Amino acid sequence: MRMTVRSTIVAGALAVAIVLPGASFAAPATTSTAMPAVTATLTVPSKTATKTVTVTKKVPLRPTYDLDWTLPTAGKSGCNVCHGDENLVRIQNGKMVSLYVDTAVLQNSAHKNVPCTSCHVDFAYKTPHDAIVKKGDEWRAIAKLSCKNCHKDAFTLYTSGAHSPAGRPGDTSSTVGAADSSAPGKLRPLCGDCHGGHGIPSKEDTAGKEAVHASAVAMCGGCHAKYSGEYMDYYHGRAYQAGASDAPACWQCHETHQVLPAADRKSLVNRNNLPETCGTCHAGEIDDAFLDFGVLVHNARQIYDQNPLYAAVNSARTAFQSMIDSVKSLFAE
Amino acid sequence: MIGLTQLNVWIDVVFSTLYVVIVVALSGHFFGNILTGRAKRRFVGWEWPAHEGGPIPALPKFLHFQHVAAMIALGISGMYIRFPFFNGGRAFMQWVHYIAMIVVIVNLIVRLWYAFGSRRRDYREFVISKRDLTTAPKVILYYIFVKPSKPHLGKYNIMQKGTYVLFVPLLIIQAITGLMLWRLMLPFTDVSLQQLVAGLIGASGVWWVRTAHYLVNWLFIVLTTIHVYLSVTEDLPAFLDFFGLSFLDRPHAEHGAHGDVHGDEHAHDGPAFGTESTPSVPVAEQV
Repeated sequence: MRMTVRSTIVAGALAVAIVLPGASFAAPATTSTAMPAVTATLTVPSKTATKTVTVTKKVPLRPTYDLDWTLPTAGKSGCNVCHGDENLVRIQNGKMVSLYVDTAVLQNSAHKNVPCTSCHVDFAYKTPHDAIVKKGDEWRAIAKLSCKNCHKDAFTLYTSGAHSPAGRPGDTSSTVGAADSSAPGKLRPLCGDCHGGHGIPSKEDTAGKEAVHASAVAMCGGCHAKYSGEYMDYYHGRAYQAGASDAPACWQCHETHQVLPAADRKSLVNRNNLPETCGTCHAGEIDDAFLDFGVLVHNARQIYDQNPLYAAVNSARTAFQSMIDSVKSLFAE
Repeated sequence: MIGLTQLNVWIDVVFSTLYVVIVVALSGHFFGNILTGRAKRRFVGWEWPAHEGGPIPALPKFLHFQHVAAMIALGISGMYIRFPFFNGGRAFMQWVHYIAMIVVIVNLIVRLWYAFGSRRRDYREFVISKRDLTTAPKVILYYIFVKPSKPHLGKYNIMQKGTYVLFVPLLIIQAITGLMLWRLMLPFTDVSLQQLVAGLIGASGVWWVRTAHYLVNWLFIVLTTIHVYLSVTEDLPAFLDFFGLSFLDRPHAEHGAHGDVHGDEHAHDGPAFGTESTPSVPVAEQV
C-alpha cells in the first residue's frame, strides 16, 4: 500500500514535469492568472505490477511570458516563438523597442547553427527575461563579448589592442578617449559593436562580406569621425567612399582586432611598419618618397587647405556664393 | 624642393582652376564673336572660310576619328582612376584606359608614317616657318578681336600648327609614361612593366612618372578643349567634314578664297595637298 502511494506521488510529479511544458505551449502568452487543469496519463512500474495512473493538477500560469518550456534549449526554435514575431516590442524608457529577430538574417549568418543562448548566455536557464533586462544594457554587453567563447585568438588580439575593454597599460579611464584621442569620450567597442549581432556574414557569403567592407567608414567613423571623414585621398579614400570594393577598408591598414595607435611600435601604421603594410597591396613599390605620398591618405583635405591657390580660389568661390545668396535674398523679400 | 605630395596638389589646383578659367574665357570669346558679328555671319549666314585643296583623304579622317574617341576614353578613364567619381568600376576603367592607349599609340605610329613616309607626306602642312612666327602676333590679335582677319600663310595658321605639332611629343611622352605605369603582367611572366620600371628607377621614380603622366593629361585636356572650341566656331564645316557629318563645299579648289587677308607678308610655304598657289584676293573686313 505504501509502495502504491509512493508510486502515485512519483508518477504525479513526473507527469507535471513532462506535461506542463506542452500545456504552456498550447496556451498563448497571456497575462491571465487563470489556473487551467492539466491531466496526464502515465504508466508507472512497481514491484508488484504495472499501473496506469491519471494525475490532474491545477498549474498557475505566469502573469507575463510563459517561456519556461523554451529554456534551456539547444536550438533557436524556442526563442523564435516569440522573437520571430515582428510585432514583439517592449516599452523601454518611454520608447517602443522591437525585440524582433529576423530568422532569415539569422539563418544566412555565420552563426546559423549556434544556439541563441551561446551568445545570450545570461538568458539560459533564466526566465522570464524581466529580471535580466531590468538590469539595463548589461545583457547586450554580455552578448557582444560572448564571441570570446569560441573566437579565442581574435579575442586575445582584441584585448591587447587599443580597443581592449580593459584598456591599455597605464590607461585608467573607462573610455578610450582622452580629449586628444581620435575618439574622445567614446566607450571601448565590444566585439558586437563592430561585427554586429545576428547577421554576421559567413566566410562564403561574398555579398555579406562586401557589405561589411563597405560599412567600414560608418563602423569606425562612429567613434573616429575625424579620421573617417579625412579618408579622402586620390586612390584609397575617394575610391572607398565611392564604393569601390578594391579600395582598402580601415582595418586593412589599421588591423582588425589588434588595433594600435600609430605611435605603438607594433602598429601596422607605425612608420617603421608602413613598408610592409603598404606592401601588402603595393608589392615592390615602396620607398621613402612613396611613403611620403601616403600622407595624403588621411590628410588630403588639410594639405589642400594649406595650398595658397586653393585657399584663394575657395575664398573667391565662397565670396561669389555669398553674393549670389544676397541677390537671391533680395528677390525673396 | 617641392615634394611629390605638394606637387600633385599644385597640379590638381592649378589645372582645375585653369580649366575653369579657360571655359569662362572661351565663353567670353564666343560672346565676343556675337558682339562682333562673327557668330551671326558664320552660324546664321553660314559664311565660313573657303577651303583650299582637295578633300581630306579618308585615312587621316579615320585616324582622327579613332584618335578622338580613344582620347576621350583615355581622359575619362584616366581621371576616374585618379579621382574615382562614381561607385566601383576601377578595374573596368583600367581596361578602358589600356585599350584606348593601344589605339592611340597605333594611331600615332600610322599618322607619323602618313606624315613622313606615305606618298602624301603632309608634314609640310604643319611645319612652322619663319613667316609664321613673324605673323603670329597678327593671328593672336585676330583671335582677340583686335584685327578683323588673320594673315594667311597656308592650310593652318601658327596657332594651329603649334598646337598640332605639340601634340606629337606630348603623345609620345604620354605613351612612354603610360607604358611605364602599365600594371598588367607581361605575357608568360609574373612581372609588369611598372614593376620593371620600379626596379630601375625606384618606387618614387614611378610616382614621378605618374605625376608627369597626369600633368601631360591636363595639357591635353586644356589644348583639346581650345581646339574643339576653335574648330567649331572658326570652321564648323571642316569640323563636320572631319567626322563625316557633311562634306565640304570646295568651290575654290585653289588657294585665295579662304577668307583670310593676303597682305604683302603673305606667301605660301608650299601647296597644301599639292595645290598650286594663286594670287590672292583680299577679303573684305569681316567685322
